[in-house]
Amino acid sequence: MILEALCTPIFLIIDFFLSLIPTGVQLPSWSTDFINVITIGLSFFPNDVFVVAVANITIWSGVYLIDSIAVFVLRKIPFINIS
Amino acid sequence: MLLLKNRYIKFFIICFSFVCVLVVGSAPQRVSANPAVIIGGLELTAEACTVLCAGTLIAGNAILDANNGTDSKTVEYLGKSLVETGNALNYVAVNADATGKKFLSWTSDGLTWLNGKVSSMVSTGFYSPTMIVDSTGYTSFGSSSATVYNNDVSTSVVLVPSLNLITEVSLPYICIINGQTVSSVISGTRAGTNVIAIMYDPYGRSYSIGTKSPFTCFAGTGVRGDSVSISDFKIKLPVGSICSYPTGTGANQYNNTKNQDVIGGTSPIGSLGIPLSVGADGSMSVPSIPYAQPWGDIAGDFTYTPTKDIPIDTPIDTPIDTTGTIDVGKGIFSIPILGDILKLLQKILDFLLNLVKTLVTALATMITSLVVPSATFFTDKFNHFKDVAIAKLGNNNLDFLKNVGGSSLKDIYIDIFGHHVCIVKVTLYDSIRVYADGFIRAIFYFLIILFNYNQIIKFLRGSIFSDYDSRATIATAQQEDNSKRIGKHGL
Repeated sequence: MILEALCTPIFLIIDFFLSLIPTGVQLPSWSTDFINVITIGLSFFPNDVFVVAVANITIWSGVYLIDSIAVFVLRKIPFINIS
Repeated sequence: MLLLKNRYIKFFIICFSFVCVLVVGSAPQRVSANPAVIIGGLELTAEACTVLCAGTLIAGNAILDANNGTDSKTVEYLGKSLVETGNALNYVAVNADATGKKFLSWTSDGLTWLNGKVSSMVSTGFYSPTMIVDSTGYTSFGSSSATVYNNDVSTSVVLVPSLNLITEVSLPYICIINGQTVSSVISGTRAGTNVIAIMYDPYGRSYSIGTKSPFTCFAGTGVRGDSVSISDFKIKLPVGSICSYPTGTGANQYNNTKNQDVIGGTSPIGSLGIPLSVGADGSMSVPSIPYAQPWGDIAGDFTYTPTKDIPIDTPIDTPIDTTGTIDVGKGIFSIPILGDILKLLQKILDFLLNLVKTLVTALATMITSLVVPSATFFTDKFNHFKDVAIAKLGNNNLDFLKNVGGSSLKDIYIDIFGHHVCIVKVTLYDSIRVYADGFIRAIFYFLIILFNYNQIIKFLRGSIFSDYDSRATIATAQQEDNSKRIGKHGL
């Protein structure tokens, strides 16, 4: 239950970003090229290192984003003096 | 400071209590799992008493089915009752024959108790009507003597001539097989040709000596051994017995044809009782019943619950039978007042143990339900993300994603002066990829660990979840610095 509660906000954020994608959208042609450029790194780096590195950067970016949103909201609450 | 001391005291009390619960809780558990009494230096368990009861009843021609017979289960109840009520101290004894070989046997009171118990259970429908107790051998215990018998016969089969009506006491015999002596009597009155024969089951596990007309195997007194040498098989008959010897008839003809799951094909008990196995250190043990199905398979850990009201024995308060060698020190629960107090304390300890077990189980269940997510939580979530993404992007060709991970680099060539020249030979890297991957993993995983450590420290210092807030600290320092400056200018 605790782990589900911790993961649920993250999943809600993912749901939110997924909901922003319009239905039936056509990916631009450069998206394929972009993916292909990114995968060039896999020619030199092992797959696991590449995935772990990208996942780490993504997770910490998400953590700071959530922290910023939480601080922004908490600052609006009077009498608790969150600066 | 007081709070700190209280913390240490609480921690010590919790640790001490936990150790006490472990030590105290484990002791009664072992006792209750395998109760036993000590008789004549033998640790007599409920299973051993069950073997004795079963052997006695089988000697009385009872057939105990190993798997589904009510009789078998009730015999287990008898064995358990003997130990748990302490009656085994009075009713079971360890005796020895003239050669010093020890047997687990009944006392006269024990046979009376078993007779009464079985009669009661037969009358109330718990035992089949054919269940009787053969106490003939026991009542004659100690009175038989090898000097009575002098007609040694070295053969596997002895035929007793016809027209010789045999009464119950007319033809006692002793069998010696592999040095193990078993004596019995031909019971009942039989007409026609009778046989005293050695028989063994098709698997060679158990051997029995019995009497019956040829070709119909009857199991009487059983002897167990890893192997039997026919030449060692001797039957001693009373003086004057008239015997004849079969020709061309082997012992195999009298194989035990009973179902191997049936306890009762042979009895492990002799007239002196169950022969005890004596170890090199003098320790004694009761041999298990020599059948394919071990006795423990019948009813598990003695969980059989009678469907009718079987008369339950009350703990004995009579003097201990001094005919056998009894270790009183281990039978402390049978001492009138002290035993009651100890039993009460044991019940209290059992209650506390069960309470602790229940609390620990409930705590573990609660923690599991709180922390561990449901089995399909993550699977459902990620399948949901995949379904949503495919629903919105499904009209695109996403096959290129399947190729991610493969080496897509190729050597770079240019055409110069009409020649196709390789200017960057990237494929050269493939020759060292095996070594380079290990090196890259070591370096980058180390860097990723440092990166995560740095991010955690950075996040906690500047986080609302930390006591130390760098932003608040910096702001406070600036305020103090400003105050000092204002103070200087003011002065």
